[in-house]
Amino acid sequence: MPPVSCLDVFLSLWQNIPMSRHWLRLLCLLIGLAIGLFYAWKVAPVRYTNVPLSALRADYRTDYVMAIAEAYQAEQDLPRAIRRLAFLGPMEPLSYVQEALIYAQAHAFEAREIAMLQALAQALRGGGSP
Amino acid sequence: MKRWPWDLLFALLAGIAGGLLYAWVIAPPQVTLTPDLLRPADREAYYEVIAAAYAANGDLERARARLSLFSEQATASLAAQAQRMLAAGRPFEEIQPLVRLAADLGKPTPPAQPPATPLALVTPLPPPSPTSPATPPPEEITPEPLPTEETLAIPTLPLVTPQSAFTPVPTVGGFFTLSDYRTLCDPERTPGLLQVWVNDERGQPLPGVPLLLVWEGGQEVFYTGLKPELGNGYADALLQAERLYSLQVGGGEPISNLSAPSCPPESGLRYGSIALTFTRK
Repeated sequence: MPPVSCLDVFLSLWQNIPMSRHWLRLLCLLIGLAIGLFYAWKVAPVRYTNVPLSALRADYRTDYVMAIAEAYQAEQDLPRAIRRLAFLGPMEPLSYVQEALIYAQAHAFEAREIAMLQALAQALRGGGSP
Repeated sequence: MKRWPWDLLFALLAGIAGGLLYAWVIAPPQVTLTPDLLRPADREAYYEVIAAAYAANGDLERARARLSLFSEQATASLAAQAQRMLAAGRPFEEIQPLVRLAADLGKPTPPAQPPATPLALVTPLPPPSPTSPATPPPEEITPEPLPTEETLAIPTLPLVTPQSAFTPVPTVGGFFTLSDYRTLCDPERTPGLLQVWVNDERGQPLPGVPLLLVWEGGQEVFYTGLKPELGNGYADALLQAERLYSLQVGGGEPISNLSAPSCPPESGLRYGSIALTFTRK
């Protein structure tokens, strides 16, 4: 009697399963999908590194703009403030300050903090320092 | 004849590929992107802004809270960034807020207790390592002086006036006093080498401190921390033989009449080197 391998057993089993070929393929596809999802979500999930400032959550972006506004209040150096705001992305620097202002007002920041953001926004609009 | 189920295997692999694509590309898990994940350039920009804001408002707790968003050790990161900026030739005005914040973060939080034991006025240098011609001062005091070194009194000879072109940079939060002065006739060290270590009041090395070396007809500004392998508070310069120099640390009182020391004939050297340690008060 010739030796029987595990593979032979498996092949003879699946060839005798009373299921249509299409259902079997679909079942394998779903099993593969489950394996892929489990591996990608649990075993090796996406790790974020080298994130740009623009991708940070709104509160962190607001804090960054807030710090720029604090520095601007003392330095009164608008080009430097614009250079710092440029790290947030390619949009107009004013838009980032306005975004931070909206967040600050919605989250009840202190009046002096809002005033600093407004002063920076005003300077960026061309109004200079108040 | 038994046939290998290639179609099912293909379906399984397609399912795996689809699952990976969905979970990694189409719908990756939503995570909060914190400043800790920032790419290096943006992280440095963030640090710079935090330091600038601190320079503006002096609110150390706020700066500390902002820096706590980063998992790395803030003081070391700020000091390292200051060193990189120095090496890149950035103006010191831009670097100073980082240095100041790093220094202030290193200070004990009030109420500060005075150190239990005062700093030793003279700290002998360790014997030179054959692989490293310059090593920072040891933390422990070695009682016996080296046979080839000569401890001198702090010179009080007339000052060499700095050139008018130099504008002293404000000190990094205090004055620096010379706490150790040594001349060394050591073949392992470059003749005429002036080695300077600058520490804060707790003995921690201070990077980014400007040092002004003045001689007749010239001057040079150099900074601590540009050779981090020798210590964050370390800096050196080469003195020419038979020329008098004045050294000013962080805009403090200059130390005058520095020169490459003469060595005894048995040392095999004509000129030796100088090792100075400054401590912030």
